[in-house]
Amino acid sequence: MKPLGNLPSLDAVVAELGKLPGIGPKSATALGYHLVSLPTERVKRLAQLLEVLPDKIVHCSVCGMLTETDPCAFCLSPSRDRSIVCVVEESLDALSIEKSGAFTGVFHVLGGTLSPLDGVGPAQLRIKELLERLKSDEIKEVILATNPSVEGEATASFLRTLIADLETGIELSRFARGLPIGGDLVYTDGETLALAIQTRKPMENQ
Amino acid sequence: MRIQNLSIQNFRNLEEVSLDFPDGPQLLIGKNAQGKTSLLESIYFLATSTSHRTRLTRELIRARAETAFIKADFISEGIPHTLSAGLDGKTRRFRLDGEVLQKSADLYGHLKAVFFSPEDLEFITGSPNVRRRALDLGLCQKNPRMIGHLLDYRRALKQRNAVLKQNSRSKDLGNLLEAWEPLLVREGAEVLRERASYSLKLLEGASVYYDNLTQSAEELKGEYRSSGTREHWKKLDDIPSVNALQESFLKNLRTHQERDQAMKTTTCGPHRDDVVLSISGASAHRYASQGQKRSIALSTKLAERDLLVKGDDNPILLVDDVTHEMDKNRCKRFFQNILSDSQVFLTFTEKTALRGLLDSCPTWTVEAGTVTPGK
Repeated sequence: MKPLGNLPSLDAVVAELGKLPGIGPKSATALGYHLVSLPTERVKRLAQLLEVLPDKIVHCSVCGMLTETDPCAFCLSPSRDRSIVCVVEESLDALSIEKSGAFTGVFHVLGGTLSPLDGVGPAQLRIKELLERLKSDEIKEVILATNPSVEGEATASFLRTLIADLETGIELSRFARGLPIGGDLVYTDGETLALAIQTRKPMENQ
Repeated sequence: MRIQNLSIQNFRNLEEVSLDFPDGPQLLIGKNAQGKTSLLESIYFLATSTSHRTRLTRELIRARAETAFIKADFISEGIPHTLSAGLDGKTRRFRLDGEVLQKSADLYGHLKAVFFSPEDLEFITGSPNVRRRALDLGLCQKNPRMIGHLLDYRRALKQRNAVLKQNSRSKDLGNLLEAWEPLLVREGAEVLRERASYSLKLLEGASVYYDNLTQSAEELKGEYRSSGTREHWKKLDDIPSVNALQESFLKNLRTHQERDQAMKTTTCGPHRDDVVLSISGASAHRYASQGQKRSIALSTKLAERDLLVKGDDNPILLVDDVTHEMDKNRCKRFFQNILSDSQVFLTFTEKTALRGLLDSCPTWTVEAGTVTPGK
């Protein structure tokens, strides 16, 4: 939506909102006008919170996770299993895995995937830090939990080679792919279904 | 498969069109540049999200218009569906029965169409790139699963090429290149196996049609040349299994890594494959006459039609101005071949071109971007 030009302060806010992911010009305009309609205290509070955000949130110096205390809670917690590291693309991925409750190890956040087309090579990711960690810590297994996308697969494949070259005897694994729980065969896309069939498991005795 | 109704707004040079099609072949008659081809293109666009004329979304929208819209009500395998496409300068949005299709892979296979165009000659005279594109469009309509494999292959290929362009002196180069290999090989072998099978079936069918159309002693043959495995295949049985293809593609990738580094691009793989056609042993690309090339192009398209038939459901045939170079007998045999079970849309510049073969068909006049019944 083109700004009318008589509200430059609001237009500037709308323009910034429109740069956020998932927010198009119409949503940005609606949000901007909504902000103006809010009580002054609420807008000011939001502004204050946003202002300090970049200073409060840092990357954990050990695992790269977003945190307010360095090292992060995962790296400090005595109850986490330090022998198994789950390597993910972003902090949000670690959060999803944590919510599953099935993982009690520690994380390593790469900060993205290899994508030469976008100028992202090994130097732009926390790969050196990962290799250092694997050399020094008592790590027995690494789960390469990058996404099953073209770039995620390539990143996993790249890490596999590097980690094997360390000759530490660390076990490498990757998440299984297949049907979602509570899913319906009818609504599963062909590729996922084909993979689930190829990687089927024998039924265990009840 | 049959389109019952087609609405178009601002697609190519068509302004506003809404047509109900009675049974039978539809004849579109109009002078040059009035919108006949655009109408066929609109149907092909709903089938494949591509146009053979342009790759730019902007060029699909009529000059001075902001957006374009196409909608077709059609019957497929006995069931009525509605497929629509909305375009603005940047995006294309497709809906099937009102639901937005999220991926281009979801579009393929619903409305199937074969486009007979004067430009089909390029399948014989053009670069390998033209042939691969034509083969992939047919393959993806026949087997929509392949579009995902093709897109992943192209993505991995672009990334590997970016590594080759950027990191010529990096000590990590070997590892960085190998990172893309598993995907390239897995997706590449899948594409290769399916595309090669499709191509050889297509050539087999085309050979029979060529015989029928030309009534001559000449024999149309062809082979699939795989750059990733350095092999040539003439029959379906020649094509190795997916596992064997993976193995030999990987071996060749590794063998040519140095050359790839020097050329700064991936020099072997399905993106370099080709289909080579010959007539009675002589290369069609080099030696075929204009008439022979025309007959090969038509035969290939007829074979494509056959490959897209599913049960009693025939693809829609879009025949753009292809008959003017044919003599009456060849024309007659061609029409006998296409006027069978498929819904056919044919364009002509004037009614006399019909030569009495299609007199009783529904006729539409295309003029200055509008379409009106009869003439």
